[in-house]
Amino acid sequence: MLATVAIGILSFTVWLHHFFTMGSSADVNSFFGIMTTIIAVPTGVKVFDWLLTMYRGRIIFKPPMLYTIGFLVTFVIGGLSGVLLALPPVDYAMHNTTFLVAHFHNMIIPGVLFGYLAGYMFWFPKAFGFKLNETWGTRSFWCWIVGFYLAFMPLYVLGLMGMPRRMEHYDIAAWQPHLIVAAVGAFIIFVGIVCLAVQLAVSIRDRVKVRDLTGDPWNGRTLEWATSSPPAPYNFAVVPDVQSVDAFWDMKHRGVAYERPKRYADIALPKNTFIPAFIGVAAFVFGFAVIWYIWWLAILALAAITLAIIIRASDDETDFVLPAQEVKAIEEARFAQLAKAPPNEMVDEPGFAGGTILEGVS
Amino acid sequence: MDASGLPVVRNTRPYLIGLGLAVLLTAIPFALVATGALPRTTTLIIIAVAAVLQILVHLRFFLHIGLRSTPFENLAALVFAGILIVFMVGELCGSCLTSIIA
Amino acid sequence: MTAGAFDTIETAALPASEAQKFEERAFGFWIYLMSDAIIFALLFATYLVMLGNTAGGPTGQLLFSLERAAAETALLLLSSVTFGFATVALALNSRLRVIQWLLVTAVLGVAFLFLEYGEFGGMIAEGAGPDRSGFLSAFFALVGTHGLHVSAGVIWIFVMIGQVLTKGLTSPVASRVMRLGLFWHFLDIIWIGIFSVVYLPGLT
Repeated sequence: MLATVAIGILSFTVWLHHFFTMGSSADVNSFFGIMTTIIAVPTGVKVFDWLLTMYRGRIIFKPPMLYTIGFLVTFVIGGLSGVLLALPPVDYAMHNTTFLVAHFHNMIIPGVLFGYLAGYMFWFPKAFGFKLNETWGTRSFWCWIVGFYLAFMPLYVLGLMGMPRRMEHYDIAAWQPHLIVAAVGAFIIFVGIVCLAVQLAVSIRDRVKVRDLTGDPWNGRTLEWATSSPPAPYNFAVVPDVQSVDAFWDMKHRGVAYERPKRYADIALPKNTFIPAFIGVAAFVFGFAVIWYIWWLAILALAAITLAIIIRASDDETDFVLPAQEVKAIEEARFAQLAKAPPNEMVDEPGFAGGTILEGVS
Repeated sequence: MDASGLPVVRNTRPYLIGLGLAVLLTAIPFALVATGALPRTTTLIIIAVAAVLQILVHLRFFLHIGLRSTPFENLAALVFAGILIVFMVGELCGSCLTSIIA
Repeated sequence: MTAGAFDTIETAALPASEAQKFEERAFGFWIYLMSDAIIFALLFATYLVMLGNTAGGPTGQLLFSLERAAAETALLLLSSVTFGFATVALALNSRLRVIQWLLVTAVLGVAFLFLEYGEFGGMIAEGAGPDRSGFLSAFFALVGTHGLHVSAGVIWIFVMIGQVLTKGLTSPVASRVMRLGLFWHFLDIIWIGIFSVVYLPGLT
């Protein structure tokens, strides 16, 4: 956590590394270069934290885990090339070459994309009530990671050989073998994207068969898995009694995970409203109009936004109360569904330690 | 400000005190610029100091921010914003100035 | 300023969830103000970096007027104080006085905007618009953004006058007036920065 805080503060002191070559003095460049190398330290701490979290654990290689491990390995390599580029003289030499292109893809694809896909596959069942197909998820991962390395590692070499970025054509024969490998990698990534689309299509097709009836498809440790999939509008009918860091895991082990509450209370909830979406669309129209100098449309959109805000700001009844009776009805339906649910499919996985998760349901 | 988000100050005294102090802290820099009585650098320093002081006056007497009366998270947000502002403005001005001089 | 033996808006009388709602909204608005402060700080920094980039065009010395800056400063400072009076009237549950002081604040705000739009219009008319030089781009970005905020604030004051007239001094209305107060005082703080960084140094 300290490492994350450190990165949070330090991240405001590195930004000039994006324009080392724009004419600042050596003093300025070296300050930001040094801060950029320093920020790698707490980042390394976090990587070790993640590794030690996995160490001596029993790892189950579902697609979210695959993407996470893929992120850890690949992001570190990208970070290494980043530390090289943090030195202004090196950056001057590598500026606008494919070395730089390889570096930032080496950060974004594992860091942002794999993280996003891991989260997407992990929480999809919670949000939509059915699981994503794991076979296609695994296939997408292998295509993405193999494709990534084939597509971008040659670009490091090419950058060192002097190839600039954003070229419309090239005529240096020595580059060609690397670029062919990169092209193959790009194609494999394309196959990976197709796998993601197929995964979604297959899962939607089979959604009734793969419905998440318990709300806990992964034998999870944290509290979101205690709710139904998708959760009720109020999330939790009663505030959970948290006794441990892994609150839900602990509840399952103590046998109190699915206890019926003694009494239900009214719950205050916000009403649904389309005003934010409307403001978003109007803001988009405003931006478009201002870019293309369509002044009448810009004024119209601005007026629409103002009106929408005023309407919302004059609304005294933005919340409503869900009566305890309705909460009870929703919860009873959930317990009924839990009673019908087949045993958690993770029961057969190595290291499953949760026992039967339906203890406590009367 | 206090946590409630609802009005609590029931007399005009803080606003009148704030007005008095603010007028003073405004009049001095304006007068110095109007008359040109002091050298430029000194004037600029006095302008800066008066500005910082007047901002504090506003925070205290108009926004009623106090170390005890204001909730901790509001103070934390203010300090965090302050840190970021010092960083960013300092870095921008510092890089510009040292690039010109160097 | 009539102080009366009226009921004030008692937070204790509100159900806990209501009071909590207003607390949360005030805090959320404060967080927005902090982000706005950072935006303005960056606009200030950009202005300072661009000070010398006049591209052979007019400088601040030529364009700025000490009298107008003084008038604008007085108007905004006074408007902050009159808003404070409106807040006190709100705490004392006096509908009439709230509307009166909000109106005075709005008039002062409109007067400020009149001077400022006049200044911008004049500058643009004599070829010193935001496209003349980097310095002027930065000037219009900084002072213009502040002016846009004040314009939005003035609209908001009129909306609140309307709400007080139609709904009375209910607690939702009161909490909105308080958030508007945070906004309005914040804008006066930014103006302190503007006259201290833009107008006064430009004219020394």
